[in-house]
Amino acid sequence: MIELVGASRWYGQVIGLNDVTCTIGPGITALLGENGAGKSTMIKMITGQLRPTTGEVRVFGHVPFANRTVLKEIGYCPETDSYYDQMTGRQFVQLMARMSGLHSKAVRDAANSAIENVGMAERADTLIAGYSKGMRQRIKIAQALAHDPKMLIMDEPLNGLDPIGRREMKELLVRLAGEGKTVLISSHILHEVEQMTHSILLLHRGRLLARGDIREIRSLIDRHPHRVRVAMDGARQFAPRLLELPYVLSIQFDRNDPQMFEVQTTEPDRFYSKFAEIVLQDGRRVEEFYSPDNNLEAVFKYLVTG
Amino acid sequence: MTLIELFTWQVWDITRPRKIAAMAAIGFVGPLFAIIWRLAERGHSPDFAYGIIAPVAVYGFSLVLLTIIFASAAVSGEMGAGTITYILTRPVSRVKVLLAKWLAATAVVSLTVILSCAITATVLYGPSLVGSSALPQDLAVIPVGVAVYSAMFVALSALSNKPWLIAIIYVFLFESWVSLLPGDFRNLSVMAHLRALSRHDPPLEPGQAGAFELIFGTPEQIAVVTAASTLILMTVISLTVACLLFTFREYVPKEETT
Repeated sequence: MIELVGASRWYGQVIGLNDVTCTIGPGITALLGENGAGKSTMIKMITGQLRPTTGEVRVFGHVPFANRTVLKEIGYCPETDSYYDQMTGRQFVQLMARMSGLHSKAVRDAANSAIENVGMAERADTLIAGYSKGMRQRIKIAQALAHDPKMLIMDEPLNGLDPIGRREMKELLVRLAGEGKTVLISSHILHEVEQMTHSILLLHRGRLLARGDIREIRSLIDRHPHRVRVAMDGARQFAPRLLELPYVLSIQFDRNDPQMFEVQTTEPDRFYSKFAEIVLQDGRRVEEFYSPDNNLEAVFKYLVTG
Repeated sequence: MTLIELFTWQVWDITRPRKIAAMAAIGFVGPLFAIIWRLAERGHSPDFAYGIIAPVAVYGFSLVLLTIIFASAAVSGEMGAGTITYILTRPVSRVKVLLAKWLAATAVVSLTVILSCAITATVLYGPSLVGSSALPQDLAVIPVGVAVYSAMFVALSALSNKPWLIAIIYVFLFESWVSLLPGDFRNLSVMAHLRALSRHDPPLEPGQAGAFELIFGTPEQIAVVTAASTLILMTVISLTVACLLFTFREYVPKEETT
């Protein structure tokens, strides 16, 4: 449905997207990359806002730039936090549905349904200018859904949403993909998209660094030592117990914070479950627990440096 | 989406309370001058006062400034607000969108300036307005002027991120001085053609004629037919350029270029 063949895009001297070739079909595909990786450029080319400088972009077999046949089938949720503030949420969604080609008689029902889907039914009749960031994000998603498009292009759709909102939107997108729609979601947060799909495209500095199943990429990452930072009471007494685990390579204490230490492990998933088990057995309180390697930057590092 | 629906949306957008307040303030300049003139009256006829105030305050200020504000925001305003993304990713004709914006700006600004001109004339002439020939002529020419300027500024808006700057330079610098330039440069001035269509020749005394000509030029040099056809041509060319630009150019708000 979406096809890029050697697609590149330059902004003057700066390259936004560099020789990307890929195909995206039905279901959810996550477009991952740090800020400036080229995700938005790729999305803008797919949604017909930009032309590739070289190469080809086709959507439903057509060149998408200003192509009404293509745009009719696309529901686009842009990253930008821009709205017609003087409108109510309902007016905005209705206008966008009408502009998407829905018949004037069908607009009201379609907008109501989309608004309900994103959980904005009760607040849809107040001005967008008075919305919180999360509400604006929800209404932005609603305008993309209103005309029931075959393809959804969502640029950072979970930005600004609270945890409940994030969960609801993830469920909604998974459900829509289950109905046979093509859903392309861009994000710079790996674990967020992992909960929705395993199919990813990984962009780095405009290049398509990896594509396919996220689990394969994960296993690639897991071959490298993984760092986990822990802050807890009695860290010096507790930490040596972790060294008994065969997949823990080393433990390093923080010089400035006696409660903090960093573990290096070769099998992070096993370590996480065992760590929880030991903590529960000892009845200790963990203040902080995170992995500096469990983010996109680390993935890129692993993929680039091998 | 039909052109009428797009037009209605654009009119609704233009006539928001804050914008109406700006319109009212700018449109009030003509009536304000008229009130001041009436208060400080020194025996001049209403024709004389109207012949000065209408071209300066109504045409030269309210008409052009309101057109700059509303028409030059057609595309660049959407770009600045980041809302252009919603328009460009919809299966709606870009030509229709642009024409709707032009029509809306023309309609709303015309109505405001017509109202301003009518109030100005009413203040100056009082009950004798009924017999005056100046106002009907202006009521017909104002929409023409607004349509031409709007078309030009909409085209500028589709071309530049700061169309208002170019528009201000054109209107308040070029057009103010073009009548003093030698040759046919005045033909490039919309205002000169408008003045040819709607003559405001105040009854001047011999000593005043030179100064008046220095400020306003000599509009009678352009024939009415030439002026009308030039203005129509300017409108058509501007709209064609605007539509072509808006159809084929890429518009991406600045913060979204990566």
